[in-house]
Amino acid sequence: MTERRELSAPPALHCRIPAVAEQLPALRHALREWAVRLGLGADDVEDLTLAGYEAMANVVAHAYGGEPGQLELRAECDPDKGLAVVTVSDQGQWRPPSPAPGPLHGRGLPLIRQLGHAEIDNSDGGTTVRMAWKLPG
Amino acid sequence: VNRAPDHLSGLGDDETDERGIHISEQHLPGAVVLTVRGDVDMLTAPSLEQALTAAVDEKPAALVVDLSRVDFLASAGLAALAGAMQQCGEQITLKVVAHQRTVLRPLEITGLDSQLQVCSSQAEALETC
Repeated sequence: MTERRELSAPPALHCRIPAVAEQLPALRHALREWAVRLGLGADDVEDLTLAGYEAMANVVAHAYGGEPGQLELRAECDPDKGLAVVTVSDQGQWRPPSPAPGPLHGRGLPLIRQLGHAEIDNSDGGTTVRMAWKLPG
Repeated sequence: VNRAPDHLSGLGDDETDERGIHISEQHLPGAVVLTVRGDVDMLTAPSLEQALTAAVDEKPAALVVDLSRVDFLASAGLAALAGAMQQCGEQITLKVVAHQRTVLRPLEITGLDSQLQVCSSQAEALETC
C-alpha cells in the first residue's frame, strides 16, 4: 500500500463461496472496505454495499432452490471506463420474478437496479448481476 | 412463531441476537416502541419480524419502530416492515423512526416511505400519537 492510496486502486476482490446467508455479512464488510479504499464517496459506498448484498442475497434465496451451490463475488476497477464494477454470479436458475410481486417481497431487484445501475444476465448456465459506480476523480 | 413478548422486552437489558441485531420493547400509554440496533439483513430480519408480530399482538394504538440506530437495512428488513404494515391494518398506526440515509434510501427506492409514516425522532413519532 502506498502512502497516496487514493491514487492506487486496492486489489480486486474475488471470492467463491457456498451460497448461504451466514457467509454474506463478512462479504458485505469486505465489499464496503474495498469501496472505502477505492475512495468512493460515502453515499456510493453505502449504495455499493447494499446493492452488492442484495445481489448476493438473491443468489442465496433464489438461485439453487434450496440445493447447495456457489456464489461468486468480484469487485474490480475498470480504469478505461472510470468505473468500480461489482459482479455477483451463480450457476443456478433464478425463479422468474412474478408479474405482480406480493406486498412482502420482491424489493431486492429494485434496490439492485436503482443503486447499482445493474445489468442482469440470465442464462441457462446461471445469472450474473453486474453493477457499476463512477470512480472518484 | 410465537415468542413471548418478555423475551424481547425490558428497558434495561436488551435481548441480543448473536447475529448482530438488538431489539428492545418499551410500553408507553397508547404505544409500543421497538428500538432496533445493528444490521437488519436476511439473517436478522426474522428476529425483527417476531418482535413486530409480538408487538402487533398487543394491539397498541400506535407501534413505533425506531430504526435510527440501524446501520444496514436490506430488503429482508423492508419485507418485515411491509408485513407489519399489513398486520397493523387500520387499527394500529405504524410509524418508523429514521433520519439516516442507510435506512431512508432503501425505504424511498421501494416506495415504502410513502406507505409508512416516517418520523425523524422517537419524540416526534410519539407526539403525534
